[in-house]
Amino acid sequence: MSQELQKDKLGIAIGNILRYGVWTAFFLSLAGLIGIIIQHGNAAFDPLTLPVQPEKFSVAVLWQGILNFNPLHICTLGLLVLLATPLLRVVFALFGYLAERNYLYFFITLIVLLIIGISCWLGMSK
Amino acid sequence: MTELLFSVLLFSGALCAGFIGALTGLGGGIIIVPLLTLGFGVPMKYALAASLISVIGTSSGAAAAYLKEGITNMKIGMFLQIATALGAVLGALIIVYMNVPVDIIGIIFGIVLIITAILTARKKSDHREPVVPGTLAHRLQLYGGLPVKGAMEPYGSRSPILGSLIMAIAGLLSGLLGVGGGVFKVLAMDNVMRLPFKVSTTTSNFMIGVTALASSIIYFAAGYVVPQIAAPILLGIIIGALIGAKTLMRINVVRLKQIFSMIVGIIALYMIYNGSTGKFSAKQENYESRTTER
Repeated sequence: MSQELQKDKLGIAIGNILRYGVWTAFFLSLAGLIGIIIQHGNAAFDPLTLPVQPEKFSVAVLWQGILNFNPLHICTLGLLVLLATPLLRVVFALFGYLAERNYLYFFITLIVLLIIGISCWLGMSK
Repeated sequence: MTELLFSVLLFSGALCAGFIGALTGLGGGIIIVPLLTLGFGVPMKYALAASLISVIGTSSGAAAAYLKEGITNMKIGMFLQIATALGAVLGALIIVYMNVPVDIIGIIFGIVLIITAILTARKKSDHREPVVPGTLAHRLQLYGGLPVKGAMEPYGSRSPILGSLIMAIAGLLSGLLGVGGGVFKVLAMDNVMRLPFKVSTTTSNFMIGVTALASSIIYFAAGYVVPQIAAPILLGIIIGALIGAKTLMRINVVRLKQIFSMIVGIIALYMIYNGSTGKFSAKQENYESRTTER
């Protein structure tokens, strides 16, 4: 019974992460977008002028932008929070399985995290 | 076009896409790519990136609701996630680092869209596989219980290997086309692994977020996520999907579903037409020459 209860708690906790994560992302990117529009609303935006080879994402640039309240970077932060939401869900599951002593699923979840990590590394380094 | 107008138009388009996606069960991402590329001339890689971001938004929102009901099978989702995540990373790497002709992407997109619409429209059957100790599915703990009228009804599954293979393809398509690939995930869990229908749909939704995460990280790191495009799309699709879900609960939407499925079919044919007549690359060439001039 207690195990059932624990599982349910984990499910509710994960559900909450998803909900809060999505809404945090929603409002951060909304605030950022409003800021962008206030600053450059009347400037022209043509998607065809986007670079073929864009600049790589840089944590340092993002951090500097957030410190300066640059709306573009606040918006990016919102999108990053959105990306972190499913990631947190997997991390939560990892600890959940560890607590349940389900080592098979601890291992499986670890592999999934590893794939995400490699993907991140490949994206940043290439 | 001014920044303001561009944002408002993208937001409105995504609102419709989210609404149609939730109503038809096709998911919102599937209309975002045609909208961005054909509607607004957004270069393919940027469009795929924005679409993947929106997929995470809608799937996480819906998954939160499903998890509360307790029918999502976390273990089955996590096991299959290995295959989908691998496929998704591969798909994203192909698009970001190999020069796949955009027309080909457009044609594949149209074909996958048609298959998706057909698979969604087909009659669904509900399975109840017995839990058989000793099988691979059992050793991998791929079983669970479905709450039916207050009692827990146990269910098992079969063919975890074949299921994983289809999942890998679903992941690949997700990374290649910027979609969630939910319909293919359901196909693997429903038809191959023979899970109860409710379990396969909710678990698929649970998985889509992680799949889209694995591929979108590559787009993100490479710099293809542009807030001016991704943010209005995300905001619009979340609200559109919410309205769509509420509408689904309130009224009988069989007719509406048919109409929208037809619209999706037309969009698919339009994608294939544009791809086969080289319209995507024509736009792209124009765009590449303009950007190199600068």
